[in-house]
Amino acid sequence: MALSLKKGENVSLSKADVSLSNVLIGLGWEARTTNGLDFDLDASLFMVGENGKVQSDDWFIFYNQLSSPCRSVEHTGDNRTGAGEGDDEAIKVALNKVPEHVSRLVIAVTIHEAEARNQNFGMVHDAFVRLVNSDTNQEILRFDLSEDYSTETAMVFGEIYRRGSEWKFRAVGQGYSGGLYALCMQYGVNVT
Amino acid sequence: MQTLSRGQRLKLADLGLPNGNFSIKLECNNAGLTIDSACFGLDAARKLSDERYMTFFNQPASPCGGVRLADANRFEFRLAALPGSIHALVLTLAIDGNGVLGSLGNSRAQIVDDAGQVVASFDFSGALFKDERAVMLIEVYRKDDHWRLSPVGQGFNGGLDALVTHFGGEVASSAPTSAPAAPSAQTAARVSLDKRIEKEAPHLVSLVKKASVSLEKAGLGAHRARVCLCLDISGSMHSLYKSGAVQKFAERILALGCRFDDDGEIDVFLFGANVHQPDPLGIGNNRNYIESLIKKYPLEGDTRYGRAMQAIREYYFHKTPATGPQQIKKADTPVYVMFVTDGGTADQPLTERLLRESSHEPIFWQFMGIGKGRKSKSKALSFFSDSNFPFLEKLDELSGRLVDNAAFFSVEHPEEHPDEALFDLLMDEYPEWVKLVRGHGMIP
Repeated sequence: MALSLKKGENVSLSKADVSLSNVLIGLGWEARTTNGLDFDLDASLFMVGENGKVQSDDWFIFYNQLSSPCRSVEHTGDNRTGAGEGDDEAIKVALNKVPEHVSRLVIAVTIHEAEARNQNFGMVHDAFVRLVNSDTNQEILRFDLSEDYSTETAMVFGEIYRRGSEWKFRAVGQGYSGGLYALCMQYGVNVT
Repeated sequence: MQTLSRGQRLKLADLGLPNGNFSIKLECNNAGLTIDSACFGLDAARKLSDERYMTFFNQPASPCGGVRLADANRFEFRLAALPGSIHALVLTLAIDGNGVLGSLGNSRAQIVDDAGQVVASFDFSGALFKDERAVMLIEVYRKDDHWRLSPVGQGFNGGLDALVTHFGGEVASSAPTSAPAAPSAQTAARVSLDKRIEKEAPHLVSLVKKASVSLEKAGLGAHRARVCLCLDISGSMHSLYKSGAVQKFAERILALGCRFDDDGEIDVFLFGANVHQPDPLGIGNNRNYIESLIKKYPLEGDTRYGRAMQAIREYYFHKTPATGPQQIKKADTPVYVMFVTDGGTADQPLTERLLRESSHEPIFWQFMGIGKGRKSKSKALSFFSDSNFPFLEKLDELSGRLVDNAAFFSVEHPEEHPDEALFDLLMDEYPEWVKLVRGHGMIP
């Protein structure tokens, strides 16, 4: 059955659905119909260790690096306008292939060049991010970015983390200033 | 007071407006631009499916009263009054004339509660825009059983036309060409006509509004027709021309024409012994139109309805072939003829024949007799005495017609009825005729 999570809540992914081993993070929004620069939303994922940092830049999955060295995380690619139905960008995670040194997957959503383009989520129509069990196609969590994160330009959607032998998910839903750059700094990605 | 930023979305309840009664006050630092504001009431598909929910200077309130242009820069909202079909209200700004919103000075839109307290302010300027000529400034919308508000601050370089297209221009392209113009095009044309009236003929603004009200009541708010004014120039009309009564009446018919049509003109025919067709009466030339007309076409010594009717029919339908077993003529828009006379005609048989023949054409004859008549709508008993218009009374009931294509009423004086009552009278039988001719396939 579908789970409805609220911000700050967490859930055991293994218990919620025993078959859960593949998840999909979907990001969708409507293309801009007004004049002005396109809304370019990006989904990214940081695979961090116990120290809260990536082992190397290879473990930062984003529009310019679409998969992890272990192939457990795959990004479907950059959508720069929001054109198309449903998820415009997606990140697929095979949890049982995630290597031991990765203890946490941090999922982020950002607006590309939000500051320069003077944009926020509220300006975008029907922007959402969701977590789906890709084996059953069941949606586990969805945030309405347009409505509930309107003044934000970047947010940490949630974290998939190890607790003992199982994976748990925490709905973070925390807005963030400074965009993807600030997140990279926090999680130890070398931004040049 | 809360400061709102572009893109922000919040519940009205969080602004202390749980009952949805508030105003939005605009203070635009125009920097030389001419800016018009309007409020679009949109359906669930974000379309303006009902033109009456475009609230602006010439249509200052929605039918339910939920949106009202209280003064030039203040919209008043009573959200509880809105029908369930209205899902969003979008307050827009559009430039009339040259310029772009990128050059707008520091401006603001204030959300004011019923106590007059400013609860929130959206400060904006040209810095938010570039080459846009029309923008959606603030949107109030339903979401999960709550009304929410958002300063949208996005728009279109294409101006008002693009905005109107955005709110519903995507009318099925498969529609036959004979279908009425898309609501968007109509709305845009109407807005630009209304602007012209305000600029070139401000004395007509309130008349046009009154005409709108009568048309709405008659269910013809979105109806399109060509309007023709046919005036008796027999000598007995002299005092009415001289006193300005005909001029005033012509302005009222022009106002009707401005609602039925979007070119801001009505065709004019004059008849006495002969028939004349002067330049159309329009927004640009309506002042002293009748006075200069009469200088050019002096009053004549005879009255012949038939000749005038023949000229009018030829003008509108000469090139239209008759089709079908009933030999009907078809047109995209019907013709509404306002036929004004103060006496009987010398060509009764011709008049009757033409009225019968033209019942196969989308042309409606509204006769108004000036004098005493049984069809006076005034209640004074004297008007029910001997009629000056036995023939017109007969015409109104003439047999042998495909549809009842004529109406008649009499007045003792053209200004006998206030504007509102006159427009109601003019719409007494016409709506029924529209249904009939549509049923016969004469109009789409």
